[in-house]
Amino acid sequence: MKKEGEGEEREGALAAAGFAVVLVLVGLPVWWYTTTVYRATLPYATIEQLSHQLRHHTVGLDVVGQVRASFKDDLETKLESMQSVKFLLTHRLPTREEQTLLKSTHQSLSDLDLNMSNKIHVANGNLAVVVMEEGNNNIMDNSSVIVGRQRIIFVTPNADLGVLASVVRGMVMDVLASKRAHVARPLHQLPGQHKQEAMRQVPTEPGYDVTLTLMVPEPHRTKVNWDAKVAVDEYLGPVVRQLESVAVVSVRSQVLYMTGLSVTPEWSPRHQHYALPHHQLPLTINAIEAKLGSFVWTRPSLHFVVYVPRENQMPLVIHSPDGTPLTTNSFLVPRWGGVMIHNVPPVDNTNTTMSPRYLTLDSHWVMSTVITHLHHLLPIPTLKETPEVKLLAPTSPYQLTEWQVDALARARVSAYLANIRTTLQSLCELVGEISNMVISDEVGGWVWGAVEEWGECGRAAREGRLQEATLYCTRSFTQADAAFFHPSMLALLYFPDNQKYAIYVPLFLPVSIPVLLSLKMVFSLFKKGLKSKVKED
Amino acid sequence: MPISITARDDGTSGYVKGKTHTNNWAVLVDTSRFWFNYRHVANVLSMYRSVKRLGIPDSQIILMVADDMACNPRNPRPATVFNNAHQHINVYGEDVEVDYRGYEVTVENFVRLLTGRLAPSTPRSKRLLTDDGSNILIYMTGHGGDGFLKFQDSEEITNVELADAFEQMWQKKRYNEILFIIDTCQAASMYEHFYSPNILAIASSLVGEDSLSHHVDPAIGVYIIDRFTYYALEFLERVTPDSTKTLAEFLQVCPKRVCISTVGVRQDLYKRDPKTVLVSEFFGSVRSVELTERILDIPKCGGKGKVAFNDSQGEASTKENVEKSLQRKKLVYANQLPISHTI
Repeated sequence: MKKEGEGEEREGALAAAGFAVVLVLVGLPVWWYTTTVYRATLPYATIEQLSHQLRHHTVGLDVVGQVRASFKDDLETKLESMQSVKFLLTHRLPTREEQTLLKSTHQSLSDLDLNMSNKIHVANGNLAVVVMEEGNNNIMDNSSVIVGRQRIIFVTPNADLGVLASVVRGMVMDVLASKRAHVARPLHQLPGQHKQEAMRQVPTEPGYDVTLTLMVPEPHRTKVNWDAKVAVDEYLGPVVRQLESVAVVSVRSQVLYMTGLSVTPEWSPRHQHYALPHHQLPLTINAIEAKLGSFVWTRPSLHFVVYVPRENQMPLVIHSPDGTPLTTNSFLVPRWGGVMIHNVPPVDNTNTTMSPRYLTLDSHWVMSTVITHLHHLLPIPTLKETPEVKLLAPTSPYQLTEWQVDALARARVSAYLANIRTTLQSLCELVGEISNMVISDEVGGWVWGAVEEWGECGRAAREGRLQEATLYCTRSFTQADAAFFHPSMLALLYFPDNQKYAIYVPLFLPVSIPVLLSLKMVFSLFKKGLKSKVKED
Repeated sequence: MPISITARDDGTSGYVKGKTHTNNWAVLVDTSRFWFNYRHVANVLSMYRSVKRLGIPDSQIILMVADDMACNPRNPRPATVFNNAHQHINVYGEDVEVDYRGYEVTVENFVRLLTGRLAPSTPRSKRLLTDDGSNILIYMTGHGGDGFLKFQDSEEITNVELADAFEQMWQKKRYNEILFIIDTCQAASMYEHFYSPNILAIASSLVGEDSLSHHVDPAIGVYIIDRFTYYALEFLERVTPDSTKTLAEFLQVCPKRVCISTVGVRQDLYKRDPKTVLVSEFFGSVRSVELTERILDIPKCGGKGKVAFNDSQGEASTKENVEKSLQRKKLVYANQLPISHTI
């Protein structure tokens, strides 16, 4: 009898052991494999490493000319103070051809600039300083530093190196932008001038949409004729083409009828026009914003509005805070665009009140204003002209000098690098927090691509290859953003860790408790078996 | 108000009033459906009306309404929604633009909207395209509880999820400041877990309290507005786009004797003093402008008659020329649409 009882116990024990074995050896692995989410591997270590790497640009600076030995070293010390840009100075004597060019007295500075640029071939992203001959100072026009149209700076041999250094710093990158990129603080923490600059500048994105709008509130009174396509092709076209390597700008135009600015100007007898006080300007934009058209793209858009005033408010001139009329009659809206008021010139005809007036827009004035506003918004770096420092004006059709495009590219690369770093770091944090978030191959591919290009961009910037750096950065930025904003990256879709227990406990507990308890029986039987064996021995 | 005019040599003069935002957005959410929740729809539409009146354009307002009260068969005055028994204002208006309607108002869509993780096919009007200079007004109304807000009577958003969504926005620099207003029961629990900077949160009731509605419209038979929103609206109706009313006044808009519940405010994440912040910095959209002092001297391009100005001399002939040129280009309507340029 006892043996039968023992046999039953043994069977029970074996069954319990069998359950436990199946649970552990088969159940656990099956559960593990069927519930692991697919997570593509991401290069966390590389992202960490790249985040801590120093970001700086390298600019090669060639000094060409006969100068004293300390010129290069002094200049180097003066340029060291710029964070985020390191200069590589080289000094060489001019070749015979260059010397003849420098010695010749029968040319203007612009010719000299053109010829020297052809001879010296300054690479993209670098600058050259050409020191003029001792006796040839008359073409320098009494200033000691003249900035050329491409990438050359002309200096007199006894120019103040401090002035030259500040000019070079200004040409290489907008000084405020370089400080901003280095520190990367949010808007509200920036001090005065920085904040205003940062608030005016459009966010750094690979492409922009420019929309030119002609607003005619009373088309029955004023018939406006404007060949927008030709104006854009002739004025904006060259600028857009020059900026292609830095940002893709697409330009569109439209005409809005029966829409006007809701302003209440006052007649000013002194100036014989309607004065629009500056404090009414901030409220005008939002009323028209809804009518400026629905957008097709999600790129940031810039609007430039040409407003032809109403008949009973003509001529309309903006007044500055001190009461003087504004000659430009236009204003800039930070990060949005600009508005200009185009008046119809008065016609002293007796029966003009009945017939509509015809107006052909002054395209030159309109496009100059648009380009001025664009320069402030992008922003295109400029240098202050002093008696010591002069800039050569650009020739048409190209409105931007090479060094301006370079400086803009450099500022944008810095902004991109900062942006990519925050995006990828944030993504890693998010992915680390939710351990069962699916990382699809698509997202993984983008992140790997973004990291690779980020590394390349940083390297290119450090080695001074500006064009490549811009290309890499733009691609990296697009990919990092695509990965970050991928619809599957939503934390809401996945259970956080602390909710995992709430899901699994009701599944496993009812099965495991009986098995665990019956294991007790197995162990007691095992111990009995051992004891009986010992006894037998 | 401190106004500093800084003149730069590149020809602009700037007016920086101590604010740091460049544009305004508003996200207005109503989360309840069914006819007896008429007041929530009226709440959110009243806020929409105020915000639009004070200047935020429709392209920068995301309006989420979970049910269509205006066209509900039970509405005795179809195509209208009133927030007052005396029908003073039709808050539905003629030009309401609802971005997320009916069953599209879900927790997932709301969080996707905030974090920006929308499907690529989402139209621009349904996206929150903010940047680091945007001040966002977020207004939510519906039925809530301790730590959650009910969406559509079938799901909830918890305060943790909301706080995480805001953190994701902060990390990608998608806002400058957020004013978060919530009008539900136990509303203060929703802002308990916020941990991102620059958020000022106002709740219509504290944890353990219920937000009460204001009055019933006997003609319809349901409550048509909540107390907090009713008094907030009374305040906002007196605000004009250039008014100088501050946020500190807005925080006092519903004292306990009229609201019955206690209005809760969370200020520790908001670094500025509400006494110095204007209401229009969140509810309105006052753009800062910079007068252009100088324009660049760009050489004139040659070409036919672009610089022609209509002067008094050959007026008749110019008119003929213009007429001729107008006649010469026979414009086809389709060519004038901007679409033809984008295709």
